[in-house]
Amino acid sequence: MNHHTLTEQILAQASGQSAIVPGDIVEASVNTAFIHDVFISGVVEEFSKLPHKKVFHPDRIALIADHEVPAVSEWAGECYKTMLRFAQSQKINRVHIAEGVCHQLIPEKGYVGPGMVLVGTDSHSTTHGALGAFATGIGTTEMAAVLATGKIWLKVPETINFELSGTLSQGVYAKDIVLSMLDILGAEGATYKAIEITGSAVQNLSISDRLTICNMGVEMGAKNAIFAPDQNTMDYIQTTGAEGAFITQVESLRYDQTIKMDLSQIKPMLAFPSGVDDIHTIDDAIGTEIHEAFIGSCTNGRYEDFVIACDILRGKKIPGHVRLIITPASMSIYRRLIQDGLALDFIDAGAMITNPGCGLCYGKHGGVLSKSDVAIASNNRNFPGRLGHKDSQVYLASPATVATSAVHGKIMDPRISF
Amino acid sequence: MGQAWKFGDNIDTDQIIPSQYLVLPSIKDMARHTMEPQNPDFATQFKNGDIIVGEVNFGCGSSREQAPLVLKELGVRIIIALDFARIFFRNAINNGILPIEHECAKEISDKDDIVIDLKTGEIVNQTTQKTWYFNKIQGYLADILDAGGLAAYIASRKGKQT
Repeated sequence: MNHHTLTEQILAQASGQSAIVPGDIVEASVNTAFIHDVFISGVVEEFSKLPHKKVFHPDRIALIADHEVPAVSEWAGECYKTMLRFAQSQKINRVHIAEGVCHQLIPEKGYVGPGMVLVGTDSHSTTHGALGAFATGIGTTEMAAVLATGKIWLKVPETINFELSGTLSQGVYAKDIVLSMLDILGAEGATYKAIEITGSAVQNLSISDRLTICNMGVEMGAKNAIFAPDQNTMDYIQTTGAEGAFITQVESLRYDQTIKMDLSQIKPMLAFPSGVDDIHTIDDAIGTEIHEAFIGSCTNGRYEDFVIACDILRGKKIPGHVRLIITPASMSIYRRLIQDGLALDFIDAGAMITNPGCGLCYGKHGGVLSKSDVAIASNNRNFPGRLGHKDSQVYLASPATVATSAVHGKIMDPRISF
Repeated sequence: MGQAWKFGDNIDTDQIIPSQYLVLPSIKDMARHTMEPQNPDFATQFKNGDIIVGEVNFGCGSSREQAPLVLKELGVRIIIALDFARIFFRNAINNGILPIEHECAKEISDKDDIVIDLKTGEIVNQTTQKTWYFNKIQGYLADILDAGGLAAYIASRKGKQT
């Protein structure tokens, strides 16, 4: 009987081995590699030092400008040029400038599917485990090596299993699930480990929910986070045209640890300033005055997130001292917000809508915080200085909590909105 | 021999090199701002051969390779920590920096004099007269470190294949 975890199954297949165990070092073949604008120059420079003249497979590489769009410096403009020159010289067609965040475009464009090995020059590449892929972030030198060889060295991780049961209460969302996971594991509890999410509750989690959860796997230190592909996955990749080898979850897996979570017990959660694992229930912060509210990022900038937020904000006005920033994760999401009237609802509520991209989460534009600012945000990190001044304070929360707080000008429980 | 520069838990890549400095034209320019939020004098006072000592989850956060690169530019060759964030650990090895995971990180204080023997795996705190041994990195990863980093390793391997 096969006792391999999902991650082990994928890595065994990708390295041409029948049996691997945690701790093994394998050389795995890569199905998709992507690079964003901030690191393109470094990757191209490192690649130029290698004896390989051509990339391993142009159709498996995506180049995405999302961090500094529109260009916030001359340097950013040069990065776009480097990206376009490299794409042209290497015949890479998957090039997307200012179309959205890499972690939204990769699934949308069908560049990831079940059973794949995906690497990106971004730590939140763990996101793509939502579709049943092994997905992880790497640095520029490593990416240059991947471009040259199509392979990557990987240490086979032990796996932590989160077994989810029950149903989320109204006003509680996927972001609250992952913040609860962080509460259990802390910022380093899954270092060099895989996180595998299983259980009866998984079938009720949309692909958007799964992307949110896997996105923040890295905040627990995880190498990757993964859901087994199911009917939801297959329906989704049918719409995107992604390929994928179906992998199945099997009984008696050798998990390093199994953590059972009853979703019905989860409340709206917050990560307090300034640590992703300083987790509290909403009760501990109610009434805290805020100056800025941000809904967006690769964690929570999807259409479903904006529907939730808009239902709370529609017909209301945010107070004058609050800046509410809406940053769609992709141009297709932005288009849909306009077509369905949500964009107008946000504007009428007093929100600013920015172009799709990483925006504020990159900390250099799109609502940068000043010294005394307190913000509530739907992104994934609140390290000191992450969203602006190192003394600003950032609470991480679900889009519902952010929207409810924006309306009241202070942190409030989203359940009052229902 | 070098002096220990001691840092705490969860030193993220924004602490090692804040994102506003990533636009500077070279690693040399960026390196002047290394560890600035933690210690504004770090870049000017760090000496070749000094050793960084962290505690839990050193190098967490972004995958930016500028983090190990600015450290390398200043002369960092070894970092000791209780444990490292995964991407930083890989990036360090890929750039020829040795990350040592060891409990001794708890017992090393700022400015302690540290001697490390890479052949024997011995760590000596000359200030406190304590000695520890670490497990040397083996196999494929050792080959990368010996080559001076991943790029050099791949170039040498390609040469052998053709």
